Amino acid sequence: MSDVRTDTLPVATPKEARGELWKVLRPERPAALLALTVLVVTVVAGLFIPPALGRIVDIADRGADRGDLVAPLLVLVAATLAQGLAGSVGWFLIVRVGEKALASLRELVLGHALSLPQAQLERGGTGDLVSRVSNDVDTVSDALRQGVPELLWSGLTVVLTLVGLAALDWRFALAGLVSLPFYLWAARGYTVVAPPLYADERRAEGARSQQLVETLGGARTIQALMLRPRHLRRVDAASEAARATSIRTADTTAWFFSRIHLGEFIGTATVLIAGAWLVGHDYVTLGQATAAALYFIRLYDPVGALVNLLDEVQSATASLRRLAGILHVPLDRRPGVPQPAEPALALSGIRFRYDDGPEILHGVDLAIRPGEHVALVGASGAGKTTLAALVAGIHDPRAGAISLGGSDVRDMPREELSGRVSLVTQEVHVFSGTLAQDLRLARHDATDQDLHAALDAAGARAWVDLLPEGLDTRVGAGGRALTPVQAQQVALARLVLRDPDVAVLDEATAEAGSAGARELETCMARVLEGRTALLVAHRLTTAAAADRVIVLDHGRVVEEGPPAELAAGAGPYAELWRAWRSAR
Amino acid sequence: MLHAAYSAPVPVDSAGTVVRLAFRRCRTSALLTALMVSVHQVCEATTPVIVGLALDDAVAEGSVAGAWKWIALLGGVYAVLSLCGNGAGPVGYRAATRAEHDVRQAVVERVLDPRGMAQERPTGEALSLASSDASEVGNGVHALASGVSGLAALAVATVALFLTSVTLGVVALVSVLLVVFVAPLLARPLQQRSAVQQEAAADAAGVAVDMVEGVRVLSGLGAQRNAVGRYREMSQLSRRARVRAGAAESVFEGVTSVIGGFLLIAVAAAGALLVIDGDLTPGQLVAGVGLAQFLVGPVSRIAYAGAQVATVRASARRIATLLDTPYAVDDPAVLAPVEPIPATLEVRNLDGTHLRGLDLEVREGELIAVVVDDLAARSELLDVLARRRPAPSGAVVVGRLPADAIPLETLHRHVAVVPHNGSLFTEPLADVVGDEPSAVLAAAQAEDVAEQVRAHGSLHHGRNLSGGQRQRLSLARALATDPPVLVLDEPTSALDTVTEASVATGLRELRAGRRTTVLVTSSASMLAVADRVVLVQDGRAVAVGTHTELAADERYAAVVLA
Repeated sequence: MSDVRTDTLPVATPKEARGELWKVLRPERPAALLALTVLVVTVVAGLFIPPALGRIVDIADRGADRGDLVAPLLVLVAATLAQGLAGSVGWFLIVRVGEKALASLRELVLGHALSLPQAQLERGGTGDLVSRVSNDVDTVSDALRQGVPELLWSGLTVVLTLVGLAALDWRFALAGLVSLPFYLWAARGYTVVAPPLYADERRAEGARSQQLVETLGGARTIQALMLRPRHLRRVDAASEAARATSIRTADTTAWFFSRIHLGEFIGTATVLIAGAWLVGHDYVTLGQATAAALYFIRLYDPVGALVNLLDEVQSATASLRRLAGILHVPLDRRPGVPQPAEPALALSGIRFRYDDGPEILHGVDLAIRPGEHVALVGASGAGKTTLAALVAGIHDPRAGAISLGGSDVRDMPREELSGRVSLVTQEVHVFSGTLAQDLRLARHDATDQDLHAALDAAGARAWVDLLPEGLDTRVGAGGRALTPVQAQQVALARLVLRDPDVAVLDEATAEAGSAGARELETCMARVLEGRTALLVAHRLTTAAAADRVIVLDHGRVVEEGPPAELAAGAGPYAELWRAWRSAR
Repeated sequence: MLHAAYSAPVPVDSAGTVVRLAFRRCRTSALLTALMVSVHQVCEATTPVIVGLALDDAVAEGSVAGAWKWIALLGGVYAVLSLCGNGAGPVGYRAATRAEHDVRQAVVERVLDPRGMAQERPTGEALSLASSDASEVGNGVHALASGVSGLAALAVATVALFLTSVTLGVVALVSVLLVVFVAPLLARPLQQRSAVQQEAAADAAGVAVDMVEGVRVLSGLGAQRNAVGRYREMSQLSRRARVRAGAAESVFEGVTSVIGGFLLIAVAAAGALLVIDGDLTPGQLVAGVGLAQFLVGPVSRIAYAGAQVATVRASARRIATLLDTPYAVDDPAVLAPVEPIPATLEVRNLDGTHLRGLDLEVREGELIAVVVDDLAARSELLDVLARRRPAPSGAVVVGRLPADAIPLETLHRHVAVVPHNGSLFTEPLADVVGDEPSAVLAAAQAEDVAEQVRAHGSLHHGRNLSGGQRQRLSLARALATDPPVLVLDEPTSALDTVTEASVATGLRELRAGRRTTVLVTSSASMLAVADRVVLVQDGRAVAVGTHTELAADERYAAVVLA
């Protein structure tokens, strides 16, 4: 289990991550500036409180008239109300700005995530990506929501309080600054020592969720093959490992806060000593010394918050780096070519390997005429599915070229290419939401009539009409479960709506059973009528109905021709055909 | 933390039981955390008092020497404060992650329990229970610490205030009570809006995850842009809900800060009058003001703890619902019979939603094939054979014993019903097919797949294999367990006919005569190697014979040879 890779997608540097954050914040600058101004007003209002309290102490200490108390008390009331009101408005403004930026960020990330080159996903699987678009988005959101207002408030309070101290007597400000080195020392712990610990923690958590996905998703297999103890052990180990890294982080970071406490103590002591000395020499009144002490005590919270925030910033940065990592995967932007004249596909000298794996296709040549149906047959592992994926533009060949209507497909933007050459994989996924929402993913402006027509063509109209809420029935995760045949029919209906020139179908009969497979075969034939099609045929009946058959063996085309002709010959297709017939 | 398969289930009936389960092993450290945080809070409460006394005793006199003894006292308090406050982190983390781990393990154990679930639950749900909800329950440690320490600090600060001056104490207490009663009223709309907001956020996150999981389908169609459009709608809904909740929050924050401010003003005004009357020293006034300022902290800690407890309870309740899901079947607690159970399998008059009086008989060492045309009937039959659900009526008999009288572990060891499209896991080859895999790999035609897996060290969730490769390796894995009775569901559906024919022969050579095998399939190559084929239509066996014999049967030909 040593080579389980959880971080196969890149992770950006902290600087790049901040750059991405800045990009989504930049359009909100005017609103952010307004929010900041209101926040300054809030903090300044709060600064009137300690001197007013000091005045009260002085007045009381002098045993002066009760009426003298009115003025400082009014200041306190006004400052409290202003602080509350401005605080409210400021908070709301920050939420509004922050949420706008957050929404742009998560939409940007998802958009990018869905357009990542497929090869990238094949390697790492979708687990890592899922955790980035969910957990990491959450972490960054929480940090921005809680963190940014707190950071601003704390930072402003600290700076302005020092100004307040200096206004009482410059020596108080100096006394207060004595604590600064301790705070910086604490901050260093959080910014230098903690980040690698957090990265480890995140990695361990990633491995744990990967294990949970496997184990919980494979429950049925685990029960059938009695693998329960083994999987409980694995989940236990992954969870304990994540726990150990969490504890290691807590053990190290907890004591950084002692440095803050030391700073608080030394600062308070210095302010008291300075107060005693200044009062003794009549530089300040007792009330001013009191105000200084109160000012300094009021610093505890924002300083603590600032350092705590450093902690949160580190953890949010780790997440932000993973999000920016997605944004930094280059999407191949392709120039785009004029609409190809006719949906004719030509492959020449196609070679392909996954990463550093063995070569799977060794120079495949293939031409498909407009409207022709070509079936790919061959043994398991011959490269049929890979070839289909190349034709659909999911992967790029290592050598050779694929052209559509005479234009090289590498010159077409991937999404446009996929619209012209669409692939229906064996893997079916019904999107959660209503059936109509699922289908409209293929064509967003389709009318209900279009949807019904597509379902009709895919042979799904009958059961959809029987659904209590028809097209508005919720399907996918959390909705109505569709049978494998129904899910495939939905996939075919999406294909009809997408209306590509060329359809590439990886025949999915595996899940459907024999009756289902026959039903799907009929639907498929109807959907493909009038289209150019490349079929990965697992059932020879499908191959027999095609215009032409290509036999693939160990990554090479070994035979091609009309199915009836090949069946009558003595080549590999005839062998497949006979094996199939003889069992009948 | 592995329980024996037959141990009684942990009786879990409510959120409370889940919380007890979570803290079974970490009660002491959770309590210790609460204690340490409390000491920390009490020390924090004493610092304004010490500063006030120092102001009175030393600063008012302008005596630097006099200030030192108060500073020494402050230093002592700070040492305890720092030790407890910071030590609580590691202790609390240990407790919280222990609780989280134990809850997670309980969820996974329940999902994998051989008795199954009476109602199927989506994997995504279990996943979020085992991750975010488990962690939420672990956070109960922090909720406890914050509530207990809030109460302790509130009590100590109030007592200190009363000791300073009864009048100040009364003023402060009345103000605090006001906060305690007003805050929940204010918090109510806030809670409603934040519930709406959380739901909207969860919906948006759900769509994002769903889109990523279906990314292959989306990119096959070039439909990413539409998918992002749909996500944007959800994301904007979530944003608007969040801004609405933020508006409620900002009012709440503003009002509580004003109330806290007035508490301070009331104490300061009352204290000043007392000082003027000579009933209080200026230092006591400062201590009083400091304590009053401090009081707001514990009150909000208690409020926070209340909200946290609600979150913990909600997560615990969700987990309890999963743990409490009734079992699909019972596990007979009787001991397994001592003598080996014969490897025969019999289905007698099985009736269900899709089965109508099905009879099957499989003798020891036989290789039989069952053709079930109807998908629903096929999965019902397999579920009943696997005891994933009870036989509604009729019986499954394994080696003369009714299947439901055999302990599940014994039954599954004896009769393995391998699901179609089984999951492959991230593990080395030896964990998949054992150390001596050559025979099973040969039978399943999976040598090349094994070679590929071996070269990479381990399988990555089977993702790096094609559909056919996955299927052959899954078959090899099933054969490697070598159960007395093996039931396979369409084991070759993703294979080409030549490979399929070789697998059929390999399977026969490996098992026929030695072990009992049932193939549920409609593949002609597989049917051809069976000793007998049973055709099931309309939920009952309508024809039995060899593949060649049955080929003449029209009904059979229509299903298999079409």
